[in-house]
Amino acid sequence: MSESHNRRARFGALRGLLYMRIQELVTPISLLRAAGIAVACFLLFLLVGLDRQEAAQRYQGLVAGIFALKFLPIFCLTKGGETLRSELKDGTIEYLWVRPASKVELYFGFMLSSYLGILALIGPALLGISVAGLTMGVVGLDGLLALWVTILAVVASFTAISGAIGSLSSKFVVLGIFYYSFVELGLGAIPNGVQRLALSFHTKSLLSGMVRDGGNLSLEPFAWILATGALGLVVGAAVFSQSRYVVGSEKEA
Amino acid sequence: MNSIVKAEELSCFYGIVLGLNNVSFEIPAGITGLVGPNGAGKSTLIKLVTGQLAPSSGSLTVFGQRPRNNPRLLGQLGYCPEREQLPKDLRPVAWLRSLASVSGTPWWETRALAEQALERSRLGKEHWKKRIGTYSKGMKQRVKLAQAIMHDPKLVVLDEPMNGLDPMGRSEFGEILKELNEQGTSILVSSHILHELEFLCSGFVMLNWGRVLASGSQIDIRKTVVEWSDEISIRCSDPNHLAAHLQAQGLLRGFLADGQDLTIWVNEPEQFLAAWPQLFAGCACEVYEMRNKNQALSSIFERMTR
Repeated sequence: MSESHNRRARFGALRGLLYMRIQELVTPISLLRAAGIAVACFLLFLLVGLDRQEAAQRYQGLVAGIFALKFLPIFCLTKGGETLRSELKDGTIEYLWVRPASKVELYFGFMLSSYLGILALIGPALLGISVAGLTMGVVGLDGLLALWVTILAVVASFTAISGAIGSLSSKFVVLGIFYYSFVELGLGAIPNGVQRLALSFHTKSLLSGMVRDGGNLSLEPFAWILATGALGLVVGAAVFSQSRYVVGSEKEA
Repeated sequence: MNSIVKAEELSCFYGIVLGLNNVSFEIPAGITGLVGPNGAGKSTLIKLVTGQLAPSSGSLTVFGQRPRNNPRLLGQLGYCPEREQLPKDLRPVAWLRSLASVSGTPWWETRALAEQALERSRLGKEHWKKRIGTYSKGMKQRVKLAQAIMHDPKLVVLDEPMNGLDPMGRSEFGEILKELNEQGTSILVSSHILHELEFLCSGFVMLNWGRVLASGSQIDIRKTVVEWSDEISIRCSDPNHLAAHLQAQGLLRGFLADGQDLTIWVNEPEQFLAAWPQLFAGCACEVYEMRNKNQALSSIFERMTR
């Protein structure tokens, strides 16, 4: 072996898995799909401008109420564990397991890859939504900044939670929906501090008044969102590194 | 024996399901075939060698080290799984660069490594720009081999690499493996198609039901033959002439000539095999190869598993 092979580059697993995902996302079909999502969201959100007087209020309701609080959690919780699980199901993980990289490194690579994959769908949607808001004049750049920063953080956290669920079970889609129902809808509705465990509670707080006064970018909700995501990431990495999986089927032990 | 893989009382169970049961063997440098029917324990052994599984009991060392959770050793191994699944949307160079990066290769070196590996596995350059999903089975096998040899490993482990390849593809794949071995890479290749491995491997580990039936060089394994068959296959320049020559000596019960291949059924197999040089003398025919049916590895293996 050459000397260069013995000298291991840092973050190689992250870089390798990220590059692989980027290559998959720049296929003509993927790019066409992203463009389609952006245009569809733009046109859909333009419809709220039909009623000029209530456009701002409806835009806020659609973006914060439906997109950020309903669609995003469900989408991310059912999609975040997909990269890991499809690698296990297809067996392509075997090419990675036999490489000199730790399982924790690989897990972080999968999560980063998942995050990028979700952003490849959410990003164009958010772009369409943002352009529609600017076109109608219902939201300013400060409001959009709050929207983008919040969404990026929330997507990261939900992806990490879904990844942790995915490292535990191949039924991550069902369990993700269960998590959404129990934590986001259930605990999020308990008004004595328990609701802080729900990311939706903090998302709502960050996006409140987005169209009126540019959102509410305060530190505490962000800290809760990111801490929850970090916890999901650590739990997922610990489970993945300690479990024995049978490639092509359910986890064995 | 200077072994590269050494198993001592090695067992591996999946819950109550038997994978390998108390096996001991050594594998020397060179090309070694791992043979056995489905469920014999070949894939389990391969997963143990590549560190994907841990032994339930006993020990397994590769280059004197335990492979499980041993990145330093894994850097010296290449692995080609049995599964055909490959990322269909990627081009081979991109995929290999990603894997090289996962192995810790500095990014700027990954392209050269990937291209060299594809060249060594004889995937034509005209196919490099295509997505892997559009590849034929043979091309996919070459990409799989390329990812296994990319980092110049000391041992390449191949799980059923010739499955589904046509005869020409199998022959060319065998040539690539021989070439790799000549360059100093040891190869452990599993298959249930013994006929192919016979011409490729210098040694074998024969498995069945999680047990090692025989291990060692081809010569050692052939020495276990104690009973000779009356059926002998000969490759020669003029089968009809040779058959007539032997028939005239009253040695044959029957024969079948096909191209350069001659199959004969002899009256006294042991005496014939002991005296064949004298028996063939006087016949103006070149003999390229002669083999007793019972000497074929498939036949030996068949008798062992009976």
